[in-house]
Amino acid sequence: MGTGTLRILVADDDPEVLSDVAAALEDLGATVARAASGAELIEHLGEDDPYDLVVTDVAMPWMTGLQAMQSTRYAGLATPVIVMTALRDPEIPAQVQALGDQALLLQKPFGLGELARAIGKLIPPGIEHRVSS
Amino acid sequence: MTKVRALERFIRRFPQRAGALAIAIGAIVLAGWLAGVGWMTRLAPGRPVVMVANTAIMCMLAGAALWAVWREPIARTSRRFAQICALAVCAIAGLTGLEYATGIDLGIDQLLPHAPGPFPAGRPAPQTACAFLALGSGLLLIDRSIRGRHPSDYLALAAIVIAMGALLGYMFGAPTLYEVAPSAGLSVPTAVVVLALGCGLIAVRIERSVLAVVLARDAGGFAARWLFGGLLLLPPVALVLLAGAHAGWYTDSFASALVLLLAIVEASALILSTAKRLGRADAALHASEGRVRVLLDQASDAIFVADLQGHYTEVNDAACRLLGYSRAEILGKTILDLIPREDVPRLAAARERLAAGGVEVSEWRLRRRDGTYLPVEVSAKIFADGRWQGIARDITERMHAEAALRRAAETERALRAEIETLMGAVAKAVAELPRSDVDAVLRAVADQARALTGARYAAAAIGAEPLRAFDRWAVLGMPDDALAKIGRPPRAVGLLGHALKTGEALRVPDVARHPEFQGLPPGHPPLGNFLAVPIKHRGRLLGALYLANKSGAPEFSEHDARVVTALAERVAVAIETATLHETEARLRAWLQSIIDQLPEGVIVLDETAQVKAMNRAMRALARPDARGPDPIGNFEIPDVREPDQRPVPFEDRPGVLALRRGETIRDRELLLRQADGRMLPVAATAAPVRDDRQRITGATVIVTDISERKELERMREEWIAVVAHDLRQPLNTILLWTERLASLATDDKQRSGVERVRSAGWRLNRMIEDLLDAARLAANQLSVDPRATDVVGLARTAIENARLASPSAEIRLTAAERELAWADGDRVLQVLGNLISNAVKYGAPGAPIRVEIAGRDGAVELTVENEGPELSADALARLFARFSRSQQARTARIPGIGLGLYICKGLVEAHGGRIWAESARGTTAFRFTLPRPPE
Repeated sequence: MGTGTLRILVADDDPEVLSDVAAALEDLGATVARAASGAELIEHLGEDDPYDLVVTDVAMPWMTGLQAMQSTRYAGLATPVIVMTALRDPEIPAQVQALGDQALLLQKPFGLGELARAIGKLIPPGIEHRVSS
Repeated sequence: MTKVRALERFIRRFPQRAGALAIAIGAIVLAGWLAGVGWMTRLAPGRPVVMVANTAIMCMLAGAALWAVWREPIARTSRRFAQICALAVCAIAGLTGLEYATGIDLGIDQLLPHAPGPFPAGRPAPQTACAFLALGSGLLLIDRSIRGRHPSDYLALAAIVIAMGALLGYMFGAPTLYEVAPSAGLSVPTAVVVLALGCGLIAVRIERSVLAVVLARDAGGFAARWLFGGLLLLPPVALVLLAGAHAGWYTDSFASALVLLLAIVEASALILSTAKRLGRADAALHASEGRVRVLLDQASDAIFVADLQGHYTEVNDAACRLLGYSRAEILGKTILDLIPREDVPRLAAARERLAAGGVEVSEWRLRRRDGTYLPVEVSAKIFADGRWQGIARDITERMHAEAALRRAAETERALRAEIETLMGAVAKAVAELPRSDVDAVLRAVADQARALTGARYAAAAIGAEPLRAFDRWAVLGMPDDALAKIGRPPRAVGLLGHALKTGEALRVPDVARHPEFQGLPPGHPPLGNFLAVPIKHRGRLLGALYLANKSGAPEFSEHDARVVTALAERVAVAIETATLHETEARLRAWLQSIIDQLPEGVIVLDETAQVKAMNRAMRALARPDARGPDPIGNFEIPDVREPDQRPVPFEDRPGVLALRRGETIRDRELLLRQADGRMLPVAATAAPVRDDRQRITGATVIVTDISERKELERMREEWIAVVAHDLRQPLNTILLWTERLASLATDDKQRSGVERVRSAGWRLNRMIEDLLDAARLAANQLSVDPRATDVVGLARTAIENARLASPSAEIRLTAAERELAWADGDRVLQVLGNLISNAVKYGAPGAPIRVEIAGRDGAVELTVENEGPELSADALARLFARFSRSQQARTARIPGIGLGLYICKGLVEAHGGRIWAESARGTTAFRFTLPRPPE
């Protein structure tokens, strides 16, 4: 799958996971911005050019990924989002669903293939082409 | 007698026949007048006198009236008809009489055809008018009586006399008896009709008429019938004799003399025979009276008969013996001579009552010859002729017996009253004692017994077991130092045991001489007389009362024994009650101390859910509900909430459920609201309490504070979540990097190494998930989120996943297009995945794995089957246990930690399904069921 010019924002408070996921996305050909907390996530979304996709962890200091995404949704930003988590809180799936159609839950641990499939579900090939052109 | 009956039958039917005859003759004559046929108006051939039309009408009317009333009961319409007919007869006869009396022709005689003649034409003869007036009136008054006599009888007799006279006139050629003018008078058919109707009128009420005398079955009736029969013979004989004179055989005077002679002879014969018969009857009566006399004299009861004035006319021997008089002496006296003056008004009253009939039995006193009065019971009656008869019986002995009984009853009553008074005092004393103080009750009883009998020493004992000392022993009157020397209570042996052995009171004048006396303990004061009375309650011996050394008497009396027995009877209940109360109080105290020791909160409810007991721990756990008492008025019940803080309704509380359903509720988690509003998590266990007949008599509720457990659980949950989270993070790094490395690998060796790391990473992830599930299962926290799910679709996904992992495996699905179950899709997928991966791991390599889904018994059954080595029964039994790994798994070094099937079982059961394994003939099948979605 080629996502050459996709702009993706990754947020995770664990620096290892952040760099691993960012590297994996870059391997897939995306341009990746990084945020280490919910607050940074909102900062990037508010100040940077629009992102094609947000990949965020749930449990982060100051503000969880879910809270951050919820506030961006309130702000009218419908950026697709992949919520990844190592938690098995039974309430998380519903909260992800509350973010709308453009939101997917990806449970940790996951492999590269699963990550690519999740992106494929949110970014249809047509848009990918439009973006790349 | 049969003759009398035949006669009676004839007489009874006579009125009807007389009525018929009168109607028939009247009708013929009337028809004769109307048709102008001469012979029909006179009927008697050779007689010139005719029956006029009015007479014929009267005949018919009177005949009809008699016909209507001849048989009782008479219908109202019949009676009315008869009265109208009789009234019409009276009217015609009366008007005719009026015509004769006043000489005025009212014209009623010429209304119908009549013969011309010198006599007022068509007018009935005066005799006829009289006879019919009598008959008509008699018919009108047929059931009337004046002072017991019936006027209709006399009116009928008058009519008969007129008719008889006329008939005799015809017979003996004496026209004055029937004629008023030549060819005018009372005709033969009229005389016959009047005679018949007159006799009919008398016969119609046979029971009360003069005929009753004739029909009587006594001597009078016989004489009447005999004399009447004779009289009836006379006229025909006289007629024959007169016929001889007419024929000229002898003169009229001779005939008259002959008739007279005949009459005298017949009358004499009748008188003589009647007298003879009456004489015989009299003799029989005398004989009968003689027999009665003997019977009277032999009767043991005194019999007195007195006349209207009260003079004794008859007494028997027993009466003479009773009063000591001779028969002659009594016969000279009246009733008043024999009764005391004060009884005279009573006698008058009795006479009033007896005059109305019946027998009266009452008690009287009769004066004997010696002037004393004898009590007697008299059965008295007054005969129809006014005579008195009294049958008297001496009741002196009965009176004595009754007096003795009365005295005995009074003594008994007095004794009873005395005891009741004492009992009242005992009951009061007992009531004032603490209910459970048996010793106090015993002392009170012993004290009363002592007071009742004047005994110096008194003791009350409970217990009847001879091998053991009395359970309770209260002694009064004994000096303290003596008591101290004697020491422990005695046993129910020897004299003390006698009353308890026999259940009877024992009275002993001197204990030392009694064979059962076994001596006294050292220090015991000497005993003389002795009384022991058992205390029984409902036939069971509870103990005994002992009394000794009665003062002022050589021994205890019968009366003492009775009084003390009565006391024992009455106090038995009090003693039993006190004993029970004491036992219960002790038991209750013991139970209370036990439940107070318990660290758990305990509430005991009775069968109505009233709180009967509550221990200290329970009070410490929660304050009473601030909102007030529960529906049945328990103030102490705490504010109980569901885990989500909703209040628990009364009927849903564990104790109430246990009472109502009779089941035990185990470890139900609830919250107790504390005074400060905090909620204390508790586990409540409630169980019904049953009596020996399995009836629920209450419930116990045990409440355990589980706040620590809850806290531990929370911490474990948190810990598990944290551990899982922290384990997954590095695993994520491993998995992401191995896949990146795989794409960077330059040769197969590198690629295979990276692949092994990757698969190890996934295996590690599986193990972490399994461990988490197992931990949740152990903590009963493994939950499923069921919904209507197509399990065939799930099976396809599971098979697809398995093929990805093991591309060489051959997996076949046998199922319908779709099967809906009430299931959590992810969890069922987890179970199926686990079972299929087991089948791949343990099945014979290359052999196909079959997955089957079928509906069965209202559920869906899923099967995963493989060929390969069979599982032993032992292995089958342990298959679903935690950390269970088969021998095969261990020897074949198949990876795993033995949690897979344990988790499968937990998941299936969380769905409400069942999982099991079967292994036979080289095939092993794992099956599990899932419920169908609710309708």
